[in-house]
Amino acid sequence: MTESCGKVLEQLGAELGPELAEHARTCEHCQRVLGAYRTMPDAPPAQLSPRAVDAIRAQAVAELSNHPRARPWWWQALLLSAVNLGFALVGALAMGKHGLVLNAAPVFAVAGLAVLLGSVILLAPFASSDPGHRWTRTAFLVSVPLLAAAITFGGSGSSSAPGFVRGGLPCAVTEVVLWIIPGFVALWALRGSAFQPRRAAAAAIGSSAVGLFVLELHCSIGDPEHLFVFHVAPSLLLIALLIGIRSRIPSRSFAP
Amino acid sequence: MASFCQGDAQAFDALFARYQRPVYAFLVRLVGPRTAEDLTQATFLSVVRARGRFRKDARFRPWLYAIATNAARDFLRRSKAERLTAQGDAPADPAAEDTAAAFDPGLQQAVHQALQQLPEGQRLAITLHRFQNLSFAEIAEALDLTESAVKVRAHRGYERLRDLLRAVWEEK
Repeated sequence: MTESCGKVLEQLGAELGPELAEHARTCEHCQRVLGAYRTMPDAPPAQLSPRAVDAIRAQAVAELSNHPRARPWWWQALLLSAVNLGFALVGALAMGKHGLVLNAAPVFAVAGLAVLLGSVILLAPFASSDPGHRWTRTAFLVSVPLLAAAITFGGSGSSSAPGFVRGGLPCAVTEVVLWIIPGFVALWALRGSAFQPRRAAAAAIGSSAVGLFVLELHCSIGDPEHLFVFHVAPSLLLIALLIGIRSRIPSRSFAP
Repeated sequence: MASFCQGDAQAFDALFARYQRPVYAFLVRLVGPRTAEDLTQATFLSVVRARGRFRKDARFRPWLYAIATNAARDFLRRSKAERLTAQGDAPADPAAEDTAAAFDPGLQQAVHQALQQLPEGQRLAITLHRFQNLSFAEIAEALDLTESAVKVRAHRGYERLRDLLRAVWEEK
């Protein structure tokens, strides 16, 4: 498609200027486009019955009078961030009986990952709820494998004392427990707009980061196998689960 | 739109009076008249419920068509999933048959059937451009694409339609 083809496309239905008309006369593609456009008749406009018009209007006006104040999109994101943060802090404090940080990895690695996960907890709801800036959701998706690699290989290296499974199960269970309420709040928030897999994924990443944050501070086991199987993998499963549930539940609104 | 966002019912009435007919006509093209009525209702309810999501720098018409398109996509996705669950395979689309019945026989129906053979992206670009009179910039806003991506889809779609409508074209 050349620049002139684009101009012809823009002018469909209107009189073409002499230059564009000459291009259209000699361009095989434009001939086909013009042919198709002209072949299509203007359809007689479909109309709703007056009863249906009244019913739709009445329902919309009732909704408007029930909720006269419109909340901006960021209100929902703020709420979701607060829930995520609340559960991350409560989880960290509740598990901190034997010390707030039991991760034996170097301080800069623990602090770096905790800050990274904290940022995900706080920012993912904004990326998910924002009606524009689709790239922010893409950025969160791209960050998942990087984050997974950082968690898997950023541990202390110390092995699981009570055995691989016995030492790992409590981590997976903690992650699931800490996900339940943030996950369901995310689902509630996601129903407020049309289903988009990337939007759902961004919200899911934020909710599953809650458990990862708590484990990053409290888990004393630091070998990559444990970190991948009992920290990263459950988190990925929870992300997939939330997207799957969201795709099946009806939307309250189809707004972008 | 600003007054409507503040909860002004008269402002909503003005928007509704202006857009209910084109939105319904658009949805009839996508899903057929039986479902279009329900989806028109879902579209305007979404407009009311999600008015806080409307960006101040956006235009209303593309936003409205984005909502209607999402409602139609959601319906088609769900009905396809239901058919898959029930029959284990995807048979012909009943929405397409329902839609075809909404148009007069002959040229209208031939155009409709040709449109159904296009990929969704091309079909939406052409339907919004040719029948809803949206500019390519508005279509790009509604479908969350770049304007050049929409133009490429429309251009390819019109070219393909020309082949699909060859018989009609030769009769004319």
